[in-house]
Amino acid sequence: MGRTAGIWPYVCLAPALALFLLLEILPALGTSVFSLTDYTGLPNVPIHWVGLDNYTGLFAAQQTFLLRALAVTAIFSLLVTVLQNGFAVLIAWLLNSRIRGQLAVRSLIFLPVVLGATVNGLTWYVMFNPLQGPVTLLLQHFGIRANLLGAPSTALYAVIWVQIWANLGFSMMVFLAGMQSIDAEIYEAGRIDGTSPWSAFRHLTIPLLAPSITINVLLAIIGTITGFELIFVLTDGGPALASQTLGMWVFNTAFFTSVSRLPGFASAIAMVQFAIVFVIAIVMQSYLRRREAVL
Amino acid sequence: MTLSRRRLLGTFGLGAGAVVLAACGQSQSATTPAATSAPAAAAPPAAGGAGPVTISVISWNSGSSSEAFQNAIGQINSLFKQKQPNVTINFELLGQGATWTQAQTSRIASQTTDISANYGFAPQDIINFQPDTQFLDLSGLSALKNFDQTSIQRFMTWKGKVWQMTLAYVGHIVWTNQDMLDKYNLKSPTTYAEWTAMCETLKSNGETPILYAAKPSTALTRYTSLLEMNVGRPKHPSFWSDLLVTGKADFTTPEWIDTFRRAKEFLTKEFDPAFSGIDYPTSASQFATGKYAMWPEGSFSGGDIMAAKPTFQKLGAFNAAFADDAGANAIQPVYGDLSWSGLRYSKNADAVQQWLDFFGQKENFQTFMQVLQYYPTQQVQLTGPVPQAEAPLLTKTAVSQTRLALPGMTYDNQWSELLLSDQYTPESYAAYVQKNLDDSRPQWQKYIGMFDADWAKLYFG
Repeated sequence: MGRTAGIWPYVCLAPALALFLLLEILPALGTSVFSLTDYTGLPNVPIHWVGLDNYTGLFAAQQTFLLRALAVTAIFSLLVTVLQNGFAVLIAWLLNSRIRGQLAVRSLIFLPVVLGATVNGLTWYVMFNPLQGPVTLLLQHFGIRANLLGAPSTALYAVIWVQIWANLGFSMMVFLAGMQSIDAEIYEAGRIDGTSPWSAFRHLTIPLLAPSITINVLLAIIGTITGFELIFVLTDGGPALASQTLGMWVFNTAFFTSVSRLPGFASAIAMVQFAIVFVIAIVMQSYLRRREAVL
Repeated sequence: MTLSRRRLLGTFGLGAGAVVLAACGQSQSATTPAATSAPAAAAPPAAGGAGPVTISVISWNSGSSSEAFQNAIGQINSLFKQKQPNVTINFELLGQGATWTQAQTSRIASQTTDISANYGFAPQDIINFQPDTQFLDLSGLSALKNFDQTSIQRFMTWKGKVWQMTLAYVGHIVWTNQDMLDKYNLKSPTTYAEWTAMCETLKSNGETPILYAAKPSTALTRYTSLLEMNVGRPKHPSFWSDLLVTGKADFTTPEWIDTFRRAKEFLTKEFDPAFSGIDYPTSASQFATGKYAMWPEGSFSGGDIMAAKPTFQKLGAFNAAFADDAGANAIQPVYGDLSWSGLRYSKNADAVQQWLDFFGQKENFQTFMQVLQYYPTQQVQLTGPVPQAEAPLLTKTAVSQTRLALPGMTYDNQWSELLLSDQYTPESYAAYVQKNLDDSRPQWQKYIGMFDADWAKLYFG
């Protein structure tokens, strides 16, 4: 082996790296190039270099839509990240104690993760149907005429609920794994010192879960800023742009109608989206890592 | 040892190459809706015109009448096969909406279809497809003599030549559950006052006057098309030709504000309150339940209503009456629908033209349209409850605003922000639309000059 031994890790990495370059890096570079052109995606239509026109258009001409999409994305991301992780940590805490049927509960909560965005979206699409949906019929018993996905005032919150429901199981599992790795002796010592269960959760469990919190928070933020599948199935970004996040706007601008089918411009939105995710991910990661070290 | 290491490296290299190739192959097959027909257009030309030729024809799905559509095409193709035994037609339905546009784009870009479905020309299609460079010139087809001149001018012609064969057009009308209207002795309204009075009668009897399904909100285009044609257009007949030819448009005029006001008012008072959440693809079935009296919608949904087996006996229709003037309400907004375009790159151009010519022959055309029951672009007599309800409404037509925006005009042309939310008054909404149109000008200004006054005269009539 001798002199060539060091090459083997790279050789083994090469196939995966080649695929990654081909399927991730090249399309990403392509998007950044398209964002500088008037690419329409239509066959045989010449592509022109437009420099930063798409970006100036985005920040000036399309400012109203950009600000609205940013606001919707911020609400979506913030509420999902906070609520999903809040519920997940509480459920994990409950399931970490020796209660009966915990395996069944854990499996049920994890089930939506296995089903995927399309099935989850369609399930709730039917549940929220304003004419015969079970949720609508239930609310009718309380005198409420619900049109949850059809009304601009409720559509985004209905989508947030489904997003949390769909991903709660994954966050819960990460927290549960984190909790199960905490040494039982720490709790034992706390109990000797007279800590209550809540106090143990607040002052022992949460600090020791810091690495799990970092992972879950980062994944939730990145997932909500870039994701669009669930919104696509549930609302298409509507009604009246009420649930149009940046990701949804990229899709609608790139593919939706022959009037708004502007993949070049959509690429510019995608690049802005990438920049936002990149900055937030770096800032959050560095903050959470520092917090982990302090705790 | 050295040799075996080389061999190992070589094996790795080959393996990596194979994985990459497999991934490429998978990716391609995943995006090709029907791999079996993909090579059709690439087939070599028939030797001496007698060898076997396969023509690929692609189209969008047309809702619940997809099966009937496929059967009708199958019928035509069987007849064509008898005439041209060496030509096989491979017909595929490739989805709806964005799925269709992506599939169509991919198939044309990869040159794997010979004939594609399109809408009858609107400016956006001419810009997007550049028919004079991408489509086969069909001006010489003998079947064209069977088509009415207005449809040829509006939906098939560009730069003086015919580039596609438009089989049908769409009209926006109001479908009625005639049993319910008869029950309350209600007649089709001709003015706005009559229509709102009719709705009041229905509501006072516990009925829901209007079904509308605005999820997704693109479905609002039928409603807005009717409002614009009835209320706004009569006061500014050249609005759209001015916009397309000169790039000038003012959405803040009193006629537009009045149009927006009436649109919001009627919807708030007469629609099923859940309209914004009702799934559009289910709307024909909803109407067929007989719970609603009227449904403002496209003429193309007549077949869907009948396919859903309505609980009521008689289907009716009238031209929407949003204006106070009955004359203005008599004009039905229309736009070009299903059309066949032959692709210029096709290696089987002769066979493509033969099939299109065959399709356009009166008897074949009639067979096809009788199944689909769309508004035909030839003078053919269709039978059944749908054409019976529609025929009296077609005395006057004008091009609908539905497909008139140019690529890049990113204003809210469905009026969804006005109609689905309460954040705008008609005045503030008019200003908002105007601002968005003006702001997006850099994206569409380049198309101004492409359509001149002569084109507008032919197109708008």
